[in-house]
Amino acid sequence: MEDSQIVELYWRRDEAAIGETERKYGALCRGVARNILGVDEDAEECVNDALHQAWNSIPPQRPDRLGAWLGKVTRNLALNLWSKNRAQKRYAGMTALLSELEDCVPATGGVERELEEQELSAAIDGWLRELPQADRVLFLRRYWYGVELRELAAERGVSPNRLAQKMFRLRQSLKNALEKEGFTL
Amino acid sequence: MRNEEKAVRLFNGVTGVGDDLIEEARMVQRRKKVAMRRRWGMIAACFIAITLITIGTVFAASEDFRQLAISFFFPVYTENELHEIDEGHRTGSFSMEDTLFTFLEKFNTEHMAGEITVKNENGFEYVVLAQNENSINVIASCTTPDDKLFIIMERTNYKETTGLWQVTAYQILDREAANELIDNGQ
Repeated sequence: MEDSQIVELYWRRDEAAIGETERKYGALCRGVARNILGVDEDAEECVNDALHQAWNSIPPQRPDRLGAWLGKVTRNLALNLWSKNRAQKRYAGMTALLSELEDCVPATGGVERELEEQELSAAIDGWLRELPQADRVLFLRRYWYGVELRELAAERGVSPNRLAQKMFRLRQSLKNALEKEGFTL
Repeated sequence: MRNEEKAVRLFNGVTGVGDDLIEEARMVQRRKKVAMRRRWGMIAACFIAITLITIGTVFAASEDFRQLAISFFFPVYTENELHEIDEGHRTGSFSMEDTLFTFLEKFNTEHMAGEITVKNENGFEYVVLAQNENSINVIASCTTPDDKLFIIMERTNYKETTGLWQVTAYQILDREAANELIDNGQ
């Protein structure tokens, strides 16, 4: 079923919308949640909450790309769960992602302005669009979809060490781009 | 703000990038997977085709391979080994019976299967199973009633004659397995 048709089911308050969403994007959401959290039951909880949130948010929302919209909802829910439970549970995926993203934090100094979240997303979006497609896809598969480095390395037929160097250069590139604009976090 | 908090802000920043970029990353990966699956599917299909053609050709051309294949796919129902007789030790004769009897005598005198010998009180007792122009299987009775001797014989070309019969392999079977072969007429 096309995304527009599924969204239409939500607008008509037809509960088949949830089944169709699960069928089409359940695996995607589950994958994102599992990659970030690394705990199956918490990942499942995220997915259920994402479907629940979809039901409550559509309408009034009418997402054009339902998969990306659901993925964002899932990421936010995963982040919330991580914040809530990190004292009791170790979420290996999130720990690794945050540790790597620390490399992208722009250095302070000079005249800077602090970014609002939307501005930050726009800045990262702009930097991504400048990259070659292969690098852009690689960055998003690691830092948006949360795919582990060794899996990405296997997909590309390179060693994890070699890919880690590549990822480090990408993170440095993002950091430089943010510093160049005078941004701070 | 601690670095971890800043990293969380970056995490949120990455979350909010354009939907088209997120979809692009997903679709590029999906296309790669489909292409990979198609490539491996074609490789597997080629490999299977080449293997089948090779097996078919060798099967048609080689008697040894046929025996091997037959014994693999239709194993004899016993734990005893199939003993092959080296080519240099095969005594041959133009007469199938002469070849068989010579082998059976040798089987007994040389104790080729230890204590088990072939029954020969009033001549050898045997049943000829599958028969075609150039190969037959024979089951001979042994002095121990629960044992049977299974013999494979083949006829090979020899100059301009009808060919030489030779025993190429033998195996001790239990009575049950032997009867099954006899019933199936193999």
